[in-house]
Amino acid sequence: MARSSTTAPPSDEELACRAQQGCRASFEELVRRFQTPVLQFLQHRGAAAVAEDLLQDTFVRAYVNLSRYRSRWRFGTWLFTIARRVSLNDQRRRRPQSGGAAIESAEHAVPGPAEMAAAADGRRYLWDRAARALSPDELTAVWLHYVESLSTREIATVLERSSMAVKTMMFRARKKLLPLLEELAPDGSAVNSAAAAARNRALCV
Amino acid sequence: MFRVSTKETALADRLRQEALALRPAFSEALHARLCGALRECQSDAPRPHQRPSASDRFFRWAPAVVAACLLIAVCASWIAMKVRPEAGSDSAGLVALNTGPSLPKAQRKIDVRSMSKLVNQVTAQFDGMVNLAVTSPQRLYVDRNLRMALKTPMVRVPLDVVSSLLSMGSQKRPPHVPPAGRPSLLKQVKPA
Repeated sequence: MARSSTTAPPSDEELACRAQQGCRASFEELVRRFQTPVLQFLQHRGAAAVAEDLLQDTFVRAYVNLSRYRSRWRFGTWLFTIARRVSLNDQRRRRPQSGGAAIESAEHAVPGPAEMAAAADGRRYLWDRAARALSPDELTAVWLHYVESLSTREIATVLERSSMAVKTMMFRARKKLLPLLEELAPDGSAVNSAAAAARNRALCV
Repeated sequence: MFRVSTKETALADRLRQEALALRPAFSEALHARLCGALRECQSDAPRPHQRPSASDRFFRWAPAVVAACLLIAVCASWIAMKVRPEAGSDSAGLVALNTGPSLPKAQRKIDVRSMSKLVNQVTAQFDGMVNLAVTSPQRLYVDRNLRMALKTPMVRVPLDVVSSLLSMGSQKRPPHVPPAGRPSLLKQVKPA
């Protein structure tokens, strides 16, 4: 139909409202839209090996608790909040098996082949350094702000913190990340300086 | 040297570029897996938003509305009965009420004190019933409130008014005698 071709696609919030009325196709469309961003978010939070399982858990939880969703919230914010909680629960569950060490550092210590290749060609230089330099909440805040374009208030909702706390977190994170950016070569691809190596060693310690 | 804003912009661009470069491609297999998981949990499917329906709201407020209507009807009928027996009396405690020029002067007078007393009692009782009906969401209270609503007018209807109503046809009204054990709400009116 000509009319349907001209109308804009429904927003995430509209789809969520339809899904609340029982339309499963709308929720499947939401899954299609958020599958990749949430998967990458979970991988980035240090659960690369089980990210797909956590992604499934996230969507199932969102679907079961859809009646709690309110249309005045952004659906993405709500979904990332669930994803973060799922990820935290998984980390807590696995903590005793890891001998008390931080799960995220353990995850980053054993990167997969794709991650190793990405790290080798410098595609994820800054995020690798950020993962070492920032606290988990700071890293999540930076990710949600720069990658998912969430506002400070929305990040505060996801992290279950105040807006002021998120602003402070972002300020500190920028302060730590800006020197890392300066270590990059002008073309942004190669990093080969003694200062960077020294900083990396310091961050690893 | 970069300015701070330029540095921050460069940082934002770099972080975004790296993240988007590493973003995994959309996987149909993973999407199918997710949809399959959603179908499996459909027994716990999203129920429509749990809001009280119109019928629920009606049944919740019905006892209070019925009680209010009954009390208003009883009150109105009582006032009407109270005005009529005092025809012909002209004591100092009576206040004239402008109910219209067509009515006789005697019928426009009511006893303010007994009226206010009755209204206070009715209001207190009505408040109690409304509180009961509103604060107790359980349907079990509906029966109780209905019983109260039906019982109250039976208690409130003054039998002496009925007797005076019966004798209203005759010009000479018998002296008012309250029934034993229960004080009358009607003011003792001296015969003219």
